[in-house]
Amino acid sequence: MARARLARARRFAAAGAVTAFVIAGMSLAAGTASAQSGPKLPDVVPDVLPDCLLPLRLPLLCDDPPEEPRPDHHEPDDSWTEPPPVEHEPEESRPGKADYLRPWRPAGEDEHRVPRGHPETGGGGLAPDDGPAWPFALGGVALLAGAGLTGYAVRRENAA
Amino acid sequence: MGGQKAILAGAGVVSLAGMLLIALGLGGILGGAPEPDTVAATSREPVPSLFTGVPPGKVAAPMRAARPTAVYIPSIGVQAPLTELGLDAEGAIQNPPLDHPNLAGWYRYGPVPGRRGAAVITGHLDTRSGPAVFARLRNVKRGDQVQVLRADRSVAVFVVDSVEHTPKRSFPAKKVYAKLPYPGLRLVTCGGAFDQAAHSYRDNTIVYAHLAAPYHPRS
Repeated sequence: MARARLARARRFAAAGAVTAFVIAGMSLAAGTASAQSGPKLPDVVPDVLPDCLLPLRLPLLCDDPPEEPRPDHHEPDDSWTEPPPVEHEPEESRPGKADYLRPWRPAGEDEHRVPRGHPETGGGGLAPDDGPAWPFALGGVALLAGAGLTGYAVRRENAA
Repeated sequence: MGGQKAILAGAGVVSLAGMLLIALGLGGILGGAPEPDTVAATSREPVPSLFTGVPPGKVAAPMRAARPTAVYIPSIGVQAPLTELGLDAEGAIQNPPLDHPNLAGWYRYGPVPGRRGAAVITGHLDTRSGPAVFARLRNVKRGDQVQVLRADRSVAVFVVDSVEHTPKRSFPAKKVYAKLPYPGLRLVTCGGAFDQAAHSYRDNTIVYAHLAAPYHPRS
């Protein structure tokens, strides 16, 4: 009778240990997978694109004007003039007003700059959340406690 | 004997509780929090459509300079207004504002999209709480169209040549901001794993494209 109980307790302890190993393996696999995968993306784009090929509400018929500018056309690279300065008004009192008044023009080649570093274009909202660690710690402690109790019961059985 | 049973029962209960707690932790990792639908509103609008008859291999002649106003990428459903980006105090490229997730930025100290050279458009992969304009840029493929709308109502139609994923520490600035003999376009966003300590993604996703067709509305 006592041997049967002892064997049952041993089987129980062995099954607990195997379960703990399996869960730990799954945890490691899940952690590795989430670290290697990129951000999860929402499915915001329909899978099927429309067959209509008219672009952007623009007229269907388009023509390509020649690259050479017309005689009355002023290329913005070289012919923009500055707006008249604002008189009797300190520039710092109206920040950005001069820029606002100035007609848009592209940067000339002499103004082109290569920025330093790289663009920082992520806030982390799609990064996988690692989740709290406390369930694993508490669960591990509980499993250890269970194994300890089982061992104590077995020893007590042997002593009796 | 009764004490023996109680101890074994306690061991079983404690072990079961441990397994449940670990399962709870795994569920938190695998399930994650539901993602906010910050850019999904764009999907309810008409999806930008493709221009037909655009020869993917042909490089078109440069267009006149005009202010770029929006970028459309039909294959991933992007339709975003453009803002101008300059340089910050440290000489790095400015970023589009994070509080406008569907806004992309055009680097103004480079060529205008459609002009000769490499025009650069950047956009956020995500904000702190959800996806942003270039969340799906990594899904763009060679041959896809990128359309840049301009203030003169013309459209610069680019065709994707390649997509590159590169670590930020070796960002290919010379290639991205290259002095090209033809009109090119680069789309840049973040990618790869997220470094929680640095609060930054480790990689950049870069799309390289060339101008395939300039379209001008007949007026």
